[in-house]
Amino acid sequence: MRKDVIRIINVFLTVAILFYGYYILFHPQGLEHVYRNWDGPGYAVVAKTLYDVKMIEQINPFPFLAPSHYAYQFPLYPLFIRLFSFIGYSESMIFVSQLFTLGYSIALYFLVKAVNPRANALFVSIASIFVTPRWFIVSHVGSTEPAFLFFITLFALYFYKKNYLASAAFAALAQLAKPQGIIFFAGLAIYFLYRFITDAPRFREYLRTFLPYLLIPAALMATFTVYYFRFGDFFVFMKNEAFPTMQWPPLKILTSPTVYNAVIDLFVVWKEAIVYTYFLYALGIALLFEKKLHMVAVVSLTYFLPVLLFCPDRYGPLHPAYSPVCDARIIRFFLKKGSVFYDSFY
Amino acid sequence: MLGLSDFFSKKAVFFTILFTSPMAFLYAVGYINYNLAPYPATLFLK
Repeated sequence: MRKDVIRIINVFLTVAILFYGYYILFHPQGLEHVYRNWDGPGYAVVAKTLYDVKMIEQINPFPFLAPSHYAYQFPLYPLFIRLFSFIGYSESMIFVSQLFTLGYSIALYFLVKAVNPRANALFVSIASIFVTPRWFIVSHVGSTEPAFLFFITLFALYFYKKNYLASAAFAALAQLAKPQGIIFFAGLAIYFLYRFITDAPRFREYLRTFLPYLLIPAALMATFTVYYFRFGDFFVFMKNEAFPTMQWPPLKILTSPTVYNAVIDLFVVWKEAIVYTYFLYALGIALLFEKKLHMVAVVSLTYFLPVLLFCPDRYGPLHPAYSPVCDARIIRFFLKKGSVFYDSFY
Repeated sequence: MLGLSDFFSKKAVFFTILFTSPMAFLYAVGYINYNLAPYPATLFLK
């Protein structure tokens, strides 16, 4: 087991040296090119200012974004950036996301071992460095996803080890890293509701298991309370409409002719990548149900269904002071601001 | 009933994933050019 962990670390470090080495040695801008990738700079701004509106207005390098836009960046990752900021904010940004990526691969190794001892956990966790390609790039630039996935993996691991308090604590940390954490709470609530109904005599036992998971909404409330004291509005996160990405009806994205107001034109053929993505998600969830891994299956399904509403065909109002201005930077920002599907067909 | 092993052999899956992993590199190097913040973004962090 220890040998396997060392192997994972070796592969991970080799890949990191190859990737960053390419930029240090061959790219004219060097690592600066990596630092500039979204969403890293956004998190670095939060790490530097800790949501202080006055300070954001002073140093905001993206004047087309209102200070309240930074409510999108949840606090856990910026706090870790600040913790290691003695090596520089940009450097710390990459270091923290790499640290969590390695942590995620190792945690995944133990999760696979715990769920299925006969599985080739080493192969799965080494593959997890590269798969999916989108994850490979996200984990090598500044982003909160590695922290989120690391804590979610630990949440599942401790759930299977029946240590529910630790599991709930890690789920709450995941909530502090990314807004989507609350969906895991919704999934767990549905799962336990199903258990309550089908196995009524063990109601008390299930209730005791479920109670620690209230830490997840508590973590969300704590984040919103911080926003209340910083932005003066508890629900500032909900009111952010710069990127309306969820739209009714489901699968509208497949028939929508635009992405962020840009006409897709002939590239509409690449939308089949969206169908493949949904197919892979659905197949994974079906397999989880078939293998009777009910908790993860229900949570995955709860996570998957809202994704069907994903449709970034336009953008909403920007910073009121800048929205009427046709600023080249704004256009460039929206042309380059990626989202998972946007990338896959451009 | 059909199992997954009727569609994929373990060897084929391992082979495919290992030999397509380098694609992640190319994808990343290409992608990174199209997701950049405006240039002065990180200057203030120096």
